[in-house]
Amino acid sequence: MIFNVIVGIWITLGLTLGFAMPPAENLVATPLAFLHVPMAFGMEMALFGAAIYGGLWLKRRRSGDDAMSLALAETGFVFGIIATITGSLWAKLNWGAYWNWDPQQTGIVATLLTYAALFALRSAAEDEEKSRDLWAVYAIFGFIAAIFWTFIFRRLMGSLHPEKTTVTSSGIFKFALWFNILGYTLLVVRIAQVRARLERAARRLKEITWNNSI
Amino acid sequence: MEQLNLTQNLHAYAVALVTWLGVLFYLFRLEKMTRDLERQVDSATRRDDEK
Repeated sequence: MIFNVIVGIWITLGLTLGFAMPPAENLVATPLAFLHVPMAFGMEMALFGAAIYGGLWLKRRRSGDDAMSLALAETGFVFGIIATITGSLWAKLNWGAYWNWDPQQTGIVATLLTYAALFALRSAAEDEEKSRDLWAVYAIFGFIAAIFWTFIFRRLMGSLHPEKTTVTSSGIFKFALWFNILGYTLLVVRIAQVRARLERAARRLKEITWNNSI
Repeated sequence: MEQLNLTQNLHAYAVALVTWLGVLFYLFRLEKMTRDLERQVDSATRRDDEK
């Protein structure tokens, strides 16, 4: 509860700070940037975490690792959807259209489609143990695909997206951006932790019900 | 480089705030669902032990 309140205050402060920001280089100033960019970062962090926990499941065979990997991937997926929608609103203000076929825009959609396919593949496996093993491999593969779609693809094709805003912007702009990125990273961790607890409780209940029925 | 006018900026701020509050609401709902399910697990475990 205290963690939620801290994250709540942190992000509300971060958004308000974004509202008061001067424009970044060659860009229209909008508080949406301070939601869109941290959400996209949050997605990357979550997908990275999902790959790490997938690897841990393969190594340690602890059910909690698999639950956390799945929870992080789901959270990253939701954050990715929000980043795409808010990114389109931001694009309308900056580039005049919601959708510009920019490599970064198509890249994030490709990442989301990749994960949608991986979730479907996981749910298609009938054996629980096998589905966890497959998921671990999917999570690692999915993260490599995400890195390609969101970091490499845009550099290969050239993007409308500003480069290195988190590094080259003015001091206060950079501070506001990183302040929000940290807040959303905490939020990703929190949501994934709770989602993993829910998954573990659901598995335990299923186990008890199963044992009672035989 | 241009600054949005106040109305546009307020709209964007409202969208950002509503999105963020939506995520926060989801987190609280998720926590409530988790607590409810954990309570169910506890009572099912107790019933199991009593048998």
